[in-house]
Amino acid sequence: MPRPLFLLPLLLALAACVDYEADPFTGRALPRVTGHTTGVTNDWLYINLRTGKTYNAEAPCRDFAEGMQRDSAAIALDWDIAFCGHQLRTNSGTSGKGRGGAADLGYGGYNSWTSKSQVDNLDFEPDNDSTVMVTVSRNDWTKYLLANGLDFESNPWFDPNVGPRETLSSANPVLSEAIAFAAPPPSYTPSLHTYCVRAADGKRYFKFQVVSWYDPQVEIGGEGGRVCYYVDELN
Amino acid sequence: MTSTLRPLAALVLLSAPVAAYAQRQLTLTVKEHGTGQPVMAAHVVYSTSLNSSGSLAATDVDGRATLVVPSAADSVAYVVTSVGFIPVEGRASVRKGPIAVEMSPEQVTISEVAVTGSRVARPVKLSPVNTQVLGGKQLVEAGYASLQQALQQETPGLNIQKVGFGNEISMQGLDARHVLFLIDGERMAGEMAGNIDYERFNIHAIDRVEVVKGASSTLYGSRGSAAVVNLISKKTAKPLDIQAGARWTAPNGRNFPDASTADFNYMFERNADRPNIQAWLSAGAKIGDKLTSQTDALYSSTDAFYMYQAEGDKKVYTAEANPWLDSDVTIVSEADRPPTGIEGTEHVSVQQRLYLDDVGGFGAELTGGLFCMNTYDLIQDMSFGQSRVYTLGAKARYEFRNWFRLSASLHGDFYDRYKRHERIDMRQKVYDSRIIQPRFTLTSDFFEGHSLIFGVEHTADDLTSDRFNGDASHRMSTRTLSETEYFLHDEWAVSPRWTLSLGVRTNYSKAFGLMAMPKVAAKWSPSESLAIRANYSMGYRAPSIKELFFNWDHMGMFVIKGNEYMQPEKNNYFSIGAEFSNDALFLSANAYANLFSDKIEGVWRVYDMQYNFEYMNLSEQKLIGVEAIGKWKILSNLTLNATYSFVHISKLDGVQVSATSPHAATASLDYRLKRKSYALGATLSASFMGRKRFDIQDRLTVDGVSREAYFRTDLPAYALCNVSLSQTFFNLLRLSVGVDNVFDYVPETLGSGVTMFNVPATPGARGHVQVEILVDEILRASKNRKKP
Repeated sequence: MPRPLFLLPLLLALAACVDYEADPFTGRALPRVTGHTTGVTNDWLYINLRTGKTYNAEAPCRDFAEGMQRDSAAIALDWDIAFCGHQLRTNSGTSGKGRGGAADLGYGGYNSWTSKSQVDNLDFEPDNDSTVMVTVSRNDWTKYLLANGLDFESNPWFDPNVGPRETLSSANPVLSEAIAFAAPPPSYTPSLHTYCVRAADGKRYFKFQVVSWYDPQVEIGGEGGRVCYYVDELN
Repeated sequence: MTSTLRPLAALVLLSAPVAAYAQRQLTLTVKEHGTGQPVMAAHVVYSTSLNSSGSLAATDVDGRATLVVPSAADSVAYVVTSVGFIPVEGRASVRKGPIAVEMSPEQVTISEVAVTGSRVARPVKLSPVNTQVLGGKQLVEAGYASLQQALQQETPGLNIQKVGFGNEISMQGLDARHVLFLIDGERMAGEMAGNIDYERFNIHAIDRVEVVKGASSTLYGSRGSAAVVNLISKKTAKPLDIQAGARWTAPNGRNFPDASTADFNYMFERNADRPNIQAWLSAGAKIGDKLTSQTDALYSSTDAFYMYQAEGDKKVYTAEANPWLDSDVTIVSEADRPPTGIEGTEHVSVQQRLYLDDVGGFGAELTGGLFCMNTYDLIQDMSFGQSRVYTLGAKARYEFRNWFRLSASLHGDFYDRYKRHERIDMRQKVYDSRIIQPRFTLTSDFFEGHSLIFGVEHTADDLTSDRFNGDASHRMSTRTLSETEYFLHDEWAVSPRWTLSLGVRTNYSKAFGLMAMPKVAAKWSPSESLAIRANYSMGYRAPSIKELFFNWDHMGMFVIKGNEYMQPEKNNYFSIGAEFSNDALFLSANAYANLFSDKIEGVWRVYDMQYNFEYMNLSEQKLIGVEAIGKWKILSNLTLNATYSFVHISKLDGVQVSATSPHAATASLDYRLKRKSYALGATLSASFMGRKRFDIQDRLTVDGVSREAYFRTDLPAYALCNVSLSQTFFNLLRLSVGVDNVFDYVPETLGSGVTMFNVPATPGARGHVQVEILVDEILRASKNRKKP
């Protein structure tokens, strides 16, 4: 056998090796996928950043329905941030009765934000119900067409020039930039900006960064939507 | 030996009168003009004034051949031929001693032996089937990094390029499903919409590439309904032949310059910025006269990059394609156009071949190959692709005089595709494709003027995948297609001026029954310089497993849907062409018509927020075109090459579904200077692609009502130019530098959605440096120095 054959294992090793060098992920992942793919348009999952408590973590509207997050006295101040697909809420403005809100701290630099004093003087944008759209679920769109006697072919759920059907929802306009959505084909790309989220009590602050549309344990070829993020309190 | 030389050789063989008593040996040395390098394995046909029957000899590694001549002879007449060189004839005095012959490389005329057009080795010029032959060594010397790049540049009307995920090829207005790529006549598994992993081709392991256009189904089965591209592997004729090399190309772009292990997507970021490098090794050895070993290995890594469009997408819905519109409607998207990601790859290919030649008429060949590739797309979905291919083959042949030659072969290609997780050390098989193909052929030259071949082959095509389910279940299931085919083919030299090629192939499969495909080709040579060729062939293509059964939702990005009710497509291919060649000029022009019925087409449709690629039978499609190839030896060292292709593709109800440009052209200017210890080569090449206009199925809302509609894509013409300069020192070391896309063309329009498949995937101008070392020559030179 010609001597150069001995080099082959070396060549093979070059391509065969796959190094897993990334540090372990120390952030959080949503416990489930949220948003229109679950069949519910306003499928919001609520998190109390101060206590770690979650609402609607097992299924859409399992703990309370849309509107209760603002209207129910028991819940109104017990959440700080909420996820619905790639949109987010803070407990402020039209979303809740809290004194929350969000501010954009710019691209990256997550570790450079360490103290509350760095964010004390920022302007925090409250939620409103006039700028942020959420995707209408196919379920809800079908119900809408049936209720109004509209033709399915002439009113498809998705139009390539305008995207999937959307509707205004109460959400935070600053955090709506945290994940960029484009379709078709659908892609969800985190902006990797760091944000500061003010808690419902208006006193505590959390730095927040979305890092992936996928959770690190996602099955190969599996569905995205279990958003991964870092969140830490600024003391 | 070419047709030109046959009469000459015969003349040499017959010219001398009889008789020889005592004999003596005479050395004839063949060297390359300019470099003085020995020409090995050249054939020498010689005769003397005393010897009526001519003799044959071949040059050794030092370019020396030993001629045995009668002692009493005064002179010897000889003809020396070698592939890639202009033949030399002469006469020398026997008494003056050793004969020295210099040969010049062929630059214009093509005299290589080709096998693809007829499955029988014969010079290109003699074949009734129009065959384009590209020499592997010449492609490397021209500075090409890969065979894909070389084919794109050298073959009229062929477009092959990287897209966001995988590759895309088109030729004569047809896509990859109609172009059959073979390695030494054998098929490869793992196709995606007809496209195989073209990275499997190692340009440094190729002796030559043969391109046969037109339906070649008669010889190669239903996958060759438009063209066959056959890669003939290198087989050394030297006792030891080792070459090694490396190439570096400037990065395509730093996508994540600050990547850190703390990043969630660190592996993705790192893989998106792989270097553009290649390293290869080609090692051949001829052990005795009968056994040859050839080993070729290649490592390659390419850098992924993004392409950007400054403005929003623009779609024009024409009234022609959408008769329900009163006038054209233009929609310009206000949203930013996301960049298009062009994937990077990292791969290794290793090929080992063993040849046993002519042991009592018996010959054999064993082949083994391994190819592993990682593909790094720019989609952040926590996984990247891996492919692994094993190739195994065995061929045996037995030749009995010129009566017949029996050949039996078994070829297997086993392709596995995986998804590998980007954060967890695990992978999952998603695709397992196997081709097993036994073949038996009987070839005979027994009947005067006829070269007959009869063959039978069976193809078992298995595909196991989770892509038949239409959901995300990852449940693997298998689909199988088997075909048994018989073929009979005759190349008939009717007269010195006329050659006919007649053939028929039958195809039987359980799914589609029996089909017969005839082929007729004729060549008329009114003179040595001129040849006229005409060809008719019927093509037949049964739907592939994917076209029939696929139902794959690619993670919400697109859906591919097969159609199990589809029928085979048929095409009738007509061509007529003329070829002129002399020492300074080669011109070839060919006109063709390719008429399809029940054409199988994949059509993109948009709904459910996805692109859906659906297969269906179109009623008919007509492709009419012209192709031309020209080579002009302007000066002894300077050659101009050019190709041009035009194709007109019929519309279907005002809709143009083909994305092929009517016009495509290539040109190159090659300068070669050869001296004893130094050689210089310079190549300036350009490929031009004309404007593309085609329709994509879409939806349009007018007055609040959404309807299916076609928007017309209009992509501008472009040209990509490359420059390459190579220097060879002492025939031991070759150093090449060059720039691809030297005028830094970057497309401004990426097009909407699937249009991106038709935009040239170039990062702009990129320089490269390449070093090649002829290891065996260094060893030989070293040994010679040690000799006292």
